[in-house]
Amino acid sequence: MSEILSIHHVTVHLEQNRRKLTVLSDISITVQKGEIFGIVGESGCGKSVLSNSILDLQPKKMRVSSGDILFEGQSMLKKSKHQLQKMRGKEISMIFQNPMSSLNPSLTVGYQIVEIIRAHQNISKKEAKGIAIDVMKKVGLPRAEQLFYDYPHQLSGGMQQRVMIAIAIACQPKFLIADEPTTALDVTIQAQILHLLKEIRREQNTTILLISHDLGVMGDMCDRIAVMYAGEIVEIGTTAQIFENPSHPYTKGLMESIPTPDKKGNPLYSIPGNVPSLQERMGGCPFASRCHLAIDMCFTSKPQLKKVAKAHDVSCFFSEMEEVSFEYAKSFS
Amino acid sequence: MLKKFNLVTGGAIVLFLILVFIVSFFYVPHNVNQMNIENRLIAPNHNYLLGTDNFGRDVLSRIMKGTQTAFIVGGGSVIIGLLFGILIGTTAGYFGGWMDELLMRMIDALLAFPGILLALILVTIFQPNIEVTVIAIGIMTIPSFSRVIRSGFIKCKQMDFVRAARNFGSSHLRIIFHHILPNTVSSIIVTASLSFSTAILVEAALSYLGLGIQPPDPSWGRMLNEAQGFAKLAPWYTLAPGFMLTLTILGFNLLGDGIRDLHDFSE
Amino acid sequence: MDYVLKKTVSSLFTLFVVIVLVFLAFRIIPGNPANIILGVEATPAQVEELEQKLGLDQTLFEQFIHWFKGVLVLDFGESLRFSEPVLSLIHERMGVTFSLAFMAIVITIFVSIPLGIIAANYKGKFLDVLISIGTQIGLAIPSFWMGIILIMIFGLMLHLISVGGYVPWSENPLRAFKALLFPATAIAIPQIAILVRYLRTTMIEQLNFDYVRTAKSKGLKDSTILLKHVLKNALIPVITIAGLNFGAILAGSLVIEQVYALPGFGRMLITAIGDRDFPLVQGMVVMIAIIAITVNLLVDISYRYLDPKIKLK
Repeated sequence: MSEILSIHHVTVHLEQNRRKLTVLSDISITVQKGEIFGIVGESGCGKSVLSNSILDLQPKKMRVSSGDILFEGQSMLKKSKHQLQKMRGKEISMIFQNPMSSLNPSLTVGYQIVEIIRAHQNISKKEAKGIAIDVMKKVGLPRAEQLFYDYPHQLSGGMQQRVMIAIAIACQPKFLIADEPTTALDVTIQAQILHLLKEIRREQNTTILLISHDLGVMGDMCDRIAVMYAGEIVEIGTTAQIFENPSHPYTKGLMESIPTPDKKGNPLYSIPGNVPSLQERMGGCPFASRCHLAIDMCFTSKPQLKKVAKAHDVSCFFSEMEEVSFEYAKSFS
Repeated sequence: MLKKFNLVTGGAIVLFLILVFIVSFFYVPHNVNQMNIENRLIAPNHNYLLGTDNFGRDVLSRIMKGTQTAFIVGGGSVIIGLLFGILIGTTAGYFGGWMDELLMRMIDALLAFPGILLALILVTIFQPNIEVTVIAIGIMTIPSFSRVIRSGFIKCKQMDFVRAARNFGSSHLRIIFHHILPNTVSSIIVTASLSFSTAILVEAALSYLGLGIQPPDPSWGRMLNEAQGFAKLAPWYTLAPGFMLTLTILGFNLLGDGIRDLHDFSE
Repeated sequence: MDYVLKKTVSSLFTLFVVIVLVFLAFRIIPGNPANIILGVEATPAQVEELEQKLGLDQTLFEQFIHWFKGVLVLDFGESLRFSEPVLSLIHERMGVTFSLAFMAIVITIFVSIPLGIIAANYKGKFLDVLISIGTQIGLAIPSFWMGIILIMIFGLMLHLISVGGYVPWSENPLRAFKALLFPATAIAIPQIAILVRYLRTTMIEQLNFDYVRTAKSKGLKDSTILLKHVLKNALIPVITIAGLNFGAILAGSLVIEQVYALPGFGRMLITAIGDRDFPLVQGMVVMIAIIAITVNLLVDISYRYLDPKIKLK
């Protein structure tokens, strides 16, 4: 296995009323070729900003102020506008959360697929249409020939997301970023779309960066998972490590709040409080204000990511103290 | 930055116009209506700063007096529009239901009808003069006032303080005039400013057609009508009233936009 | 379908209100219309004859039914001055006014779309500010003054146009075009100002939509995104506004025809008002209302069909 994407100590700032607010602080992730890497966290934790900034698609007010993003060993941040444009859709593609609003309402489905093919390949409209129809079939769109001329609003949400995926894989990119691809969909459709993503990975050996707030989704999909909280990575490890041995109190909270059959009948756990807004973030551990284990030190100094096992890092002062059990902490609440 | 630009520029122009308007009652350089054929079409000089017209009248004085016509027409029609607009807008917005439907259909009808035609009809029937002009233009401004006030009411009606007032048993009239109307004041001011400039524009067009203000009263539109024939001989005569008209309309438009930007109704 | 029906009914209602109001307006003329038309020197016999011709000897209701039946088949009676049916007079003059309105619309669309795009693309920058100042001034300049200024510059100084040089298209298309270009420009300027502001706002709004980010993620050029994706979504409401302003364009041409001495609708209407030719004025007003309301209705309906987003609802 080799590295395809590595994010090195990336910090993103937001300029607002002449104040600099930190959106992402010192994020480091390495994604291996061919794996499905998951980033999980509540909304507002910065996971979409992170995935958007790989292709420089984050809102204009936000800037990567330090660190670097390397794709196949080359810095994405040093690329020119033109170079980036060439890579978007061809090397790295994206699938967004809400297919309805992410597709252009006034262009046909076919046009929107053909467009990306013709942006990166110098071929005729007819040839591009042939490729588009093939891709549409591949992502499981029925009656592709007719659907080609339909407008997005004529399709169901699941079909719209399939169109988005067709657009994303039309140029057979090496890397696919799926930002909450199933959040806006029904549960049954969710499973189909996730299955489709897995299939694409298997057939084309595409590396996938999957972003979700739903740890449950991640378990089935990912090889490795990073847990994000308030603009920082608090835990990172293989899926097995995260699920079997969650070590950060926040990850544990997330695990507790996944509905599973054995929890049936009991009220589902939810982490008290909310993600602090950008203005509310202070020094120290970002999770301290919601953490049952928090001691004074947690509010004043920032814990660093530390290895707790091979390929398993956690940023929590308590991570090594096995005796402090989560159940124990919960009994205080 | 641009927000303040509209407000400041518009405000400055309007202040200037008000100043000219007030001064024109007490002082104009020359007699407005005194004709003197010997002095006809004199180019601007130190005595006649903007030259003279084809009857030898001082253009600057007539332009200054023209602010009176413009302000009377603008003010008069805004008052008409406002009064009927409050009546129609409050009835439709506050009471809703079939009354709203009926009134709004009528407002739509008025809107679909090119405004200047209405003025032309009235002028045909009653002979052109300043009163007819004011009434005709006033009627044209009713739809925008009605709509603004209606939507303000629909928004406010749902708000807690209005519900509270109703629960305390306040009368309809008290709720309308005491609680809701003050909250729509800023949007009414915006509409008034924009309607004021539209009114002046329409008056000028009517007067230019010879169907608005009648001679010898000075009106910028009327002056343009007379000046057009002498455009080659006396370009100042054409330029001066047109410039004044544009400045006035620009001023009130900018002021209206500036106030709107300040409150950001659109967002 | 439901929408089309509702809109059509409401337009018909509007039209009916206009017809009734125009009818009533010409019945509340103080004094005897026949007397007013003929002046003080008319003999009683002449007055009586005109009264009969105008139908003033009938009851108000009878008069209305007669008038309304006529309007239904576009029969507005006879002009007093020309002793010709109002409709055929209107028909003769329609060419000029419609050519003017059409040219004004074409100019408006071709100028305002690029300006709107530029303003949106350079939002807050120098060009945007410049265009915004330009639109404010464009809105403030009365079109008839603009018309006079164009004559002063292009006629009196550069000798490119001459007032009153209009000939019908069939005779000499080039001359007709030349005679109409400047008046159409004068009518178009305030419309351009309105449209540019509207297009700018809509485009800026559209630029924040998710589909723009998708388009970017596909590796499309900025110009493709702007022209193919954003403009298409911004354009439909903008064209609608242009169509809905048709009434304003017609009204503008009424005045501009006077400036350029063009033998159109407006000039005839103004003359008819001066002549107190009531049937002609009445007929023309109703005709203009019919045209304006019909165009509004058509634009409204086609908007529904053109915009795929709305079909959804």
